[in-house]
Amino acid sequence: MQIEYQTQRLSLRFFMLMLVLFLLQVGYGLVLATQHVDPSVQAGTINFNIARAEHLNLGILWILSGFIGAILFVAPLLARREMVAPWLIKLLFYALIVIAVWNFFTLRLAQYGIAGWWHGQPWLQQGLEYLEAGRIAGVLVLVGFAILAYVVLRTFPPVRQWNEIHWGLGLGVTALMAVWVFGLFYVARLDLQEYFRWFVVHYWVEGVWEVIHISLVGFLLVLMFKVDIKSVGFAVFWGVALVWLSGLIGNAHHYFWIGTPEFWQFWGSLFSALEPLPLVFCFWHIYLDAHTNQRPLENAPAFYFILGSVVLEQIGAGILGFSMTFALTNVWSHGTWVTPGHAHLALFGTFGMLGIAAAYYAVPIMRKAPDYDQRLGKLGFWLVLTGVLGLAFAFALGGTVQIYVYRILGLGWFGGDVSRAMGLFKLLLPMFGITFTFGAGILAYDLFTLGRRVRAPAAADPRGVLHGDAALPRSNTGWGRPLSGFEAGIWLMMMWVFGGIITLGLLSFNLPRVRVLADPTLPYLLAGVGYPGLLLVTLAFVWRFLASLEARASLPSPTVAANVLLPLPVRS
Amino acid sequence: MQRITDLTISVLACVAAFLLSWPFWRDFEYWPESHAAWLVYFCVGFALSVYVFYVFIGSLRILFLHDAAPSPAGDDQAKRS
Repeated sequence: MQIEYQTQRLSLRFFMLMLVLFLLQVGYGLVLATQHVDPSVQAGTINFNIARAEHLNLGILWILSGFIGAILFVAPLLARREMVAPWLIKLLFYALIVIAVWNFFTLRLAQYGIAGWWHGQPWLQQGLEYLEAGRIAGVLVLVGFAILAYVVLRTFPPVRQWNEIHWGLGLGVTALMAVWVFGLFYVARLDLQEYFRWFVVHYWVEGVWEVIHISLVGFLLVLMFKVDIKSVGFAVFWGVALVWLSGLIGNAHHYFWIGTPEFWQFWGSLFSALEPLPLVFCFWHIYLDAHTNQRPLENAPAFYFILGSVVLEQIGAGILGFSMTFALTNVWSHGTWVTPGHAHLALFGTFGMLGIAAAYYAVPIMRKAPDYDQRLGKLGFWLVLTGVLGLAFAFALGGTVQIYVYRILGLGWFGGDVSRAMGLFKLLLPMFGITFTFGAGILAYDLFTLGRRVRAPAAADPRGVLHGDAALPRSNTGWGRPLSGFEAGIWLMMMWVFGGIITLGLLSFNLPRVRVLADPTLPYLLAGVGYPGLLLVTLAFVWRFLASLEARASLPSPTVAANVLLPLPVRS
Repeated sequence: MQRITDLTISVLACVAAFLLSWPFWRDFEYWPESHAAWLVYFCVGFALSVYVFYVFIGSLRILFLHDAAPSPAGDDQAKRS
C-alpha cells in the first residue's frame, strides 16, 4: 500500500488536528463528569454551562477536522488526479486552527454575560444550545466550508462521469456549506429562532453529515475489501435517499415543545419513526460488504472503527433515537439525561469513530507503515467503545430516575432532591469517562507516533501478532466462526427487542398508575432490562463480528487500493 | 405477490408507527379549527410513510441480490491480469 497522489498527504495535518481537539474535548468531558458529582469543582472558573459549550463545540470541530481529512484523502482517488489549489487547503487548515482557538476563548464570555452585540448580531458568542459560537466564528466556518466545497468539486471529474460516491460527497460538501447559513442570523422571536436552530442541528448533522458518512463508509469498504463499487454505489444512493425521505420531515421531532403548530407532533413522530430505516440499511450494507469476498482484515483498527461507527449509529441514533422520537415518549425524555445517552452514541459513535477509522486507514499509508503494530489501536477501540457505552448506560438510567423524580413527583432541581436521586448514576459518569479517556489517550498516542516508533524485529514476532492479523489466522470455531446473515439478523433483532422494551418503558410514564399514582415500578423495570440488555448485546455483537473477521484465513496481499477503481465507474 | 407482501408489511409497520404518533392526550380540544386539514395531515402522512417503508424493503432486497451476484470487479481484474 502506498500513496497515489501527493496532495493526499494534506489530509495528515487534519487528522493530527482532529486528535488534539478530541483530547481537549475529552478533558472537558471529565471536568463535566466531575462537576456532576461535585458541582462546586471549578465553579466560578469554568462554570458548568461553559464547560458544556466547550465540550459540544470541540466535539463538532474535531469531527469536522476528521471529515475534512478523510475527504481530502479520498478525493484524489475518486478524481484520479491531484487535488486542485493545495494552497487553499493549507489556508483551510490554519483557518480551522484560528476558529478553534477563537471559539475556545469567546465561549468563555458567556460566563460574564458578554455576547458582543453589534448591528443586532451577537458577534462573540450567542448562547444558543449547540450553536454557541458567535457570528465571527460562524462566518469563518462558512468560508472554510466554501473552500472545501470548491476544492472537492473542482478536483472531481465532470458531473457526467460521477458515480454515486462522487454524488454523495459532492452533495455533502455543498450542503455542508449551504445548511450552515441557517445558523448565521439572529431572530428575536424565540420560536422562529428555534426552527432555524434545528435546521442546522438536525439537517446539518443528521442530514448532511449522514450523507458524507454513508459515502465515506462505502468508499472505505471499497478500499479495504475491494468490494464492487457499483454495489456500494447502490447502497450509497439508497442510504442517502432514505435519510432524506425520512429525515426531511422527521426533523419535526425537534419542534414538539418549542411553540410550533401541533400537527408537527403527529408528523414529527410518524416520520422520525422511519429514520432508523437508512441505518438498518447501512448495517446490512457493511455486513454484506465485509463478508462478500472473505478477505482477511489487513488494517484491523481501521475496520474496528468503521464497524463501531455503523453499530453505534444503529444503537445510538437508530434505537435510542427511535425510543424517544414519539411525542408520547419525548414529552417525558426531552431535557433529561435520557437525551445525552442517545447523543453520545450518535455523535461520537457515528461520526467520531468514522474520523478515527479514516485516520487509521490513511495515516499508515502516508507514514509508509502498512505493517504497523495494531495492538494499541485495538485496545484503544475497546476502551472507547466500552467507555461510551457505559456513559450512555449511566445517562439513560440516570435520566429515567430524573424523569420520575423531576416530572412525576415534581421535586425541584434546585431543592437537591433530583440530584441526590441520580447520585449512583452521577458516580458512573467519571468511572466510564476515565475508561474512555484512557482509550482516547492510547488512540492519540498511537496515531501521533505511528510509523515513528521503533518496531519490533520480525524475529521477535514470528506469528505476526504485532503487525496485523493477515498473517495470523485465528480459530474459526466458537466466536470466530463465520457470521452468517441469519445470525447477524438475530443480533439485530435482539438489539431492536431491547429497543422496544426501552420504548415501552418511556411510554409507560403515560399510564395513570405511574403518572397519577406515582408508582415507578414499570418504567424502572423496563429501563432496567432494556438499557443494560441493549448495551451488552451491542458489545457482544461487535466482539462476535470482529472475531469472525479475524479468523479468516490469510490471503495474498491485495494490489494497490485504488486500482479497484479503474476504469472510473459510471452510474448504471 | 412480492409487491403485495412488501406493501402489506409496509402498511402494518406504518399502522404501528401511526398509532404511536397519534396525539391521544390532546382529546381533540386543542385541534385547530379545520378538522379537514387534520384529515389531510393524517392521510398524506400515512401514505408517505408507507411509501418510504415500501422503498426501504425493495432497496434492501436488491442490496442482498447485488452481493449474492458474482463481482464484476473480480472479472475486471482477471481481464487486466
